[in-house]
Amino acid sequence: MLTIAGEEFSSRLFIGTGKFASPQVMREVLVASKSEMVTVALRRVNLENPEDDIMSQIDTGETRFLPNTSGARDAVEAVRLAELARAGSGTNWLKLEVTPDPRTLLPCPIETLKATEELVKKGFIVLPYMNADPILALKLQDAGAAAVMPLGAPIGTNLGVTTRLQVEIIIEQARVPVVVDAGIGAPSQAALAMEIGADAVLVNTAIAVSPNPVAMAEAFCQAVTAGRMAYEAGLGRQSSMASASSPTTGNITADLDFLGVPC
Amino acid sequence: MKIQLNGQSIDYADNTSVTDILAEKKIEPNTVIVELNRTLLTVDQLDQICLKDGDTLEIIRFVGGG
Repeated sequence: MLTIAGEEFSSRLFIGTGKFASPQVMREVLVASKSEMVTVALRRVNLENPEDDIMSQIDTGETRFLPNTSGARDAVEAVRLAELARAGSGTNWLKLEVTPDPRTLLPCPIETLKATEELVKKGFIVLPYMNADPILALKLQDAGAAAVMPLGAPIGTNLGVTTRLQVEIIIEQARVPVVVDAGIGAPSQAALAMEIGADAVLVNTAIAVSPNPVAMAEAFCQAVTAGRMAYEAGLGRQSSMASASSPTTGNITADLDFLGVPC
Repeated sequence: MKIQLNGQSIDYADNTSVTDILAEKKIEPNTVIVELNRTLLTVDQLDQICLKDGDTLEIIRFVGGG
């Protein structure tokens, strides 16, 4: 069972709700994924064509709502969005996202740390999205982050856990849960993140852009479960030398030497 | 009076309230978050406060996001 800020989650797969073709598909994906934590963003209402209220599409009985501060370019904007999110949702849980560069969408370490310090003081439960920097991870934990969320690769790239080495260090040193967030493009990549010891993964694009998002959500659900089971079971060591898996004695082929058959 | 509404400059009659604007746009008040001049408004304040010339109003909602 995963525990974050004293709250338990049966599922280690968190889902982002962006990029879905329709609210209906998003709802079905949430069910298929068995996720208990979903992120949402805050945006101006399109007053000429108000969109459906996403809150009504998410069953908050089963699922924890995690507003994000996407769009924030610095700590001031992030704190403003956080306060709006808390007022609008009633939850103090927050995915802190501070991304000043729209081309890379990489999180600013300095503004993320500043915002974490301020938001923790204001009573938020902060899950900061961060680059996979082990030293930053420790600073965020010192500041009171409830979890840390290092990226596997930039948002939407589907490149996988390109930051594996750093994520492994973060996991080894972590005092709070580690959620690999962003860049996970396939269930095998989610399984890898879990096998190296991540406590959870957050996936959005890979599911939303699949031709069959509901099936993909189910695949991710299975992959995360499998990866975690493998981690808990204990993975075999890797080696550069072969080590036979069949017995090396009692070979009947020893008797076939007379045929001149190479063996 | 002229106000900034979600980034656009719009004319409204004097003494328009936020509730008036939401009703005009057919938006349920409890599905949005409202910020007036960078201050969060509570649900009660939506029809108590009359907008003034030069006010900046943001009507915000949760949407899909990662």
